[in-house]
Amino acid sequence: MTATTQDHAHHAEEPTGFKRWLVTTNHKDIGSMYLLFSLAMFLVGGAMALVIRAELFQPGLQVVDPYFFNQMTTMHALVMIFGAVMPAFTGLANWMIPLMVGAPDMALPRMNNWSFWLLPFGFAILLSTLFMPGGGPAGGWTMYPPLMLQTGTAFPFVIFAIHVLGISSIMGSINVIATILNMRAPGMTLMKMPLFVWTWLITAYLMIAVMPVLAGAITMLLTDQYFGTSFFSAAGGGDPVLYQHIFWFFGHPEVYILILPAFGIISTIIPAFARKPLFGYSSMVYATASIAFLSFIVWAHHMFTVGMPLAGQLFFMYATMLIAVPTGVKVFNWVATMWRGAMTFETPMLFALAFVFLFTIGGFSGLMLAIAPADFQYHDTYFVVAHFHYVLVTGAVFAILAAAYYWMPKWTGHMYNERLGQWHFWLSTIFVNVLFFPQHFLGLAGMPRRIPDYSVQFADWNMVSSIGGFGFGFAQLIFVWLLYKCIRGGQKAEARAWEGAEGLEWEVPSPAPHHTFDTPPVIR
Amino acid sequence: MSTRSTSEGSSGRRFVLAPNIAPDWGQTMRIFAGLSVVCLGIALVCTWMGFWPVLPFAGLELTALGIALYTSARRSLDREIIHVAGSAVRVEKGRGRVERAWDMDRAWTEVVLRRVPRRWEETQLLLRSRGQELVIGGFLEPEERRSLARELGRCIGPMARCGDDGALPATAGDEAQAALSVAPSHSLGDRTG
Amino acid sequence: MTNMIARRRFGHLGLLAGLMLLATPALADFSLINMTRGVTESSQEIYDLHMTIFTITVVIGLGVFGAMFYSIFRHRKSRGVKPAKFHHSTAVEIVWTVLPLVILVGMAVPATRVLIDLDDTSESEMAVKITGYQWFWGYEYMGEDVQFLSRLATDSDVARQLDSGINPASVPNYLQNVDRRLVLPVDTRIKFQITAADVIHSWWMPDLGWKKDAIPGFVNETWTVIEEPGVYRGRCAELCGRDHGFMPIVVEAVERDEYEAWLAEQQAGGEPGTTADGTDAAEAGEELAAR
Repeated sequence: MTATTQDHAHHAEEPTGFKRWLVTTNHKDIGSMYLLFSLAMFLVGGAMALVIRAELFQPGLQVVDPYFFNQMTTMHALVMIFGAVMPAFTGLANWMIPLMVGAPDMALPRMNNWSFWLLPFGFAILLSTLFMPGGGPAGGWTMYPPLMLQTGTAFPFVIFAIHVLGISSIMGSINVIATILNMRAPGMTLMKMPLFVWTWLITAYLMIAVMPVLAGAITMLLTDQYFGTSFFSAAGGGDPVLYQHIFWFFGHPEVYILILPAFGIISTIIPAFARKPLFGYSSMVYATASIAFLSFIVWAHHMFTVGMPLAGQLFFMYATMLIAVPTGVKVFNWVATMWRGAMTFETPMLFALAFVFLFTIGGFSGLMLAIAPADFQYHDTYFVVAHFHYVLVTGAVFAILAAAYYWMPKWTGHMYNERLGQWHFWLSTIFVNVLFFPQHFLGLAGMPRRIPDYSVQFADWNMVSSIGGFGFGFAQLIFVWLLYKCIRGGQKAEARAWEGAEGLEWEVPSPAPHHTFDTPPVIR
Repeated sequence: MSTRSTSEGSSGRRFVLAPNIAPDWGQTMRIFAGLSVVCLGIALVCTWMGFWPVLPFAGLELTALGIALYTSARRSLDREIIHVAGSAVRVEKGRGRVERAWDMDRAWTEVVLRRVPRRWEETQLLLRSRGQELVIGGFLEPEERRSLARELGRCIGPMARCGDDGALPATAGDEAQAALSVAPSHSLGDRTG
Repeated sequence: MTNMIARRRFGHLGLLAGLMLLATPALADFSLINMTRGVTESSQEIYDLHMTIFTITVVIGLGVFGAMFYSIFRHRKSRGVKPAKFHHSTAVEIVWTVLPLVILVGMAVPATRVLIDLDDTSESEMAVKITGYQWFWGYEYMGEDVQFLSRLATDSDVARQLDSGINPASVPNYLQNVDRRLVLPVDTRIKFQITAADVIHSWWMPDLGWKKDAIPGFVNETWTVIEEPGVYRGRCAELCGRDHGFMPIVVEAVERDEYEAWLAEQQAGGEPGTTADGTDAAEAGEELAAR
């Protein structure tokens, strides 16, 4: 007999207001908080990008000091990577993975709560460094020493904040792995899992594998600065280039952490709106796994110019080029899924199609960057900036937007306003290309990245790019308004909100009730 | 999680509380082992190159992952069975086998659903009998726990009658009906294979 | 109804196409949108490699996007099509795994050749040591007892201050002019030894075809043979702090005898580390007018 204290007070009501969100262990609550947090950070990081684009609107310095400009480029990257894209994917995982595998909740609900609530604290610390004496971090998000060690008071706070964000990501990944491995409904074997679940499993695997490397690397920066070690200081026998090796050993898998769940989303949405099963399910799984494997052996393509031995350059060039094969398989499979389908073009499908088109352009420029001799010219120019924004903005962010439109009826119980959605899509897609396409030209013509001012031959395309930047930024406000309206009301969504949608998540009424599966769902 | 109930005789019922999951230990271990090899391999190479601070982070992380996988997989074996028959209430709890059991007097037992302050679980469902309390349904969701409480409340206590046809009153709500619909008989551990 | 939506969609596309057409005159000056061919054999090889890979990706892109857009226009529900049911084809999947591999091998061969060529720093006729500082460059002609620092030209430096009120367009060679140029002979195999004094910089001269990181405590080596006399401009390419954007590089390539004369003059009169303000700006102005 469990003997507990004799408490005769009966409190049956659930916590309300802020406390409800603070203590919740429900995967849908936590998923929603992740997604809203990510949206907020997307707007904060976007505002920083607009500071950058405003300064670059014309040559000369008009808006900010160069040091503050460097803080903006650094913080923009950190906020977008760790605050917008990763939490958005974790939010989608929280919301959708239990529904997709037929589980009532994540495997470790309390840890789930903790991993979310670390994020606001981590970002409070990170963003507060902008107001510290000496300013925030200005050495780029890659934090290369010795430059990073010149950061002022903010330095230990930045390191601490990144540790906190890392712990949050790790806990999120552990939860995803435990949920996928241990919480699947009877009958759902690994090869029957939806691709979004598969890509997240591989993403979580990558994250677990490389996060200790990031944690170790930034800890060594800290000890180099304050405890007299010299891991990366040439004066003390260390090597600053080895930091870059270690960082990119984390950094390249991190790049795939930011895109693999997007592949899963696109593989879910295209079949739904093509009304045709996904082409090559198993090759999609193997392609994802191959990309994950290759991501461990290509890191030094970020550092072709540091002076590596020839053999190293050749190895990393070949390995990097190989990534084009599984990525190509994915793109071909998506096109084959559309082939002879019966397509309709609601907003989620439009974003998914734009993803396939524009992500592939980013893939092509990636292939060009893989060619080591040509990279001697491309490296650290706006060509690289254009490349990774094509894969991260029109790649990861477009996939997240597609997912938001696709599952919004499930989340809110209402259909969003299709007209506003179409406006959001077309404005975003047009302006994002006006924003990033000319950056290819700038980089090829010789404009380095991370500079606050440039010589006058770059003026025209920078102006075009800035116009695109402001257009893209303000177009996102349409999404905020649409989301607000959709949460507040709108046409009732049916259980299967889209005609061609498949998957367990559509078996339960929209919005998903607090307690999702009363009886075990049957896997066909 | 799922709850099942079956009829036991004319005035008895049995509630089997089991998580609705089917973990595969072999698969989990293979994936964990693969991940450990990769992660520790990376950390050891870093250590060998002189960057030992990577190693403790890798160790901590794998420990956390191992504990998480173990804990969540073990939870799938949890069962709680509540037999309500005649004048007796019998509660059995265990993982794979009956580990502990409690017998209570049906008429002198009260079903209590209460919120626990300063705890992560939002509610606690317990059977209180002669000054002693037994917590049940710890792995259920609050909603499910609530519907189970409603159902148990109809079977247990001085005024309870259940097992009669049509005993479920209209106020029970759809959830309770769905959650506690009559299902094939389940014995403890029969879903663990 | 669906027709109307379709028409509106074509309208969007038409608008987009129109905008692209309008933009074409701006594309006329290819030096503003494409990689520079440069003035060395390697830079031209790199340029050719870049164009080859670019062409291959464009061709693949036309194929993939062609299929995709064909599908988007033909296989739409509003045309009343019934979706097919197929969901895999091993033969097709093998083809589109193997074919890209073959294409990649085709790309890797010339890339490897150029890379091996660039890596060979032996047999140089002269050597220059380049040192990156926050935020200027130092040059030392090895064994010639000539060394000096090279900073952003004063007129650019004044104009680039926040709210200086000076129109950058009015400054000749804004942000790409220095007080002392790196003078180098043409048709000479020059070895560069690149390092840094404080943080990592990167010495980038697009006309030579490469950039190389300048890393404190380490020396990177690379080489070049400049084929045409002229003034070439480059920049620091690795974020190195506040004034990363304000440490340009100017190389003046001259005939060998001219170079010898310049070197002798430096050895005789020019003290190490002295600067010759102002001269560069005037010359650059003339040069611009000549072009």
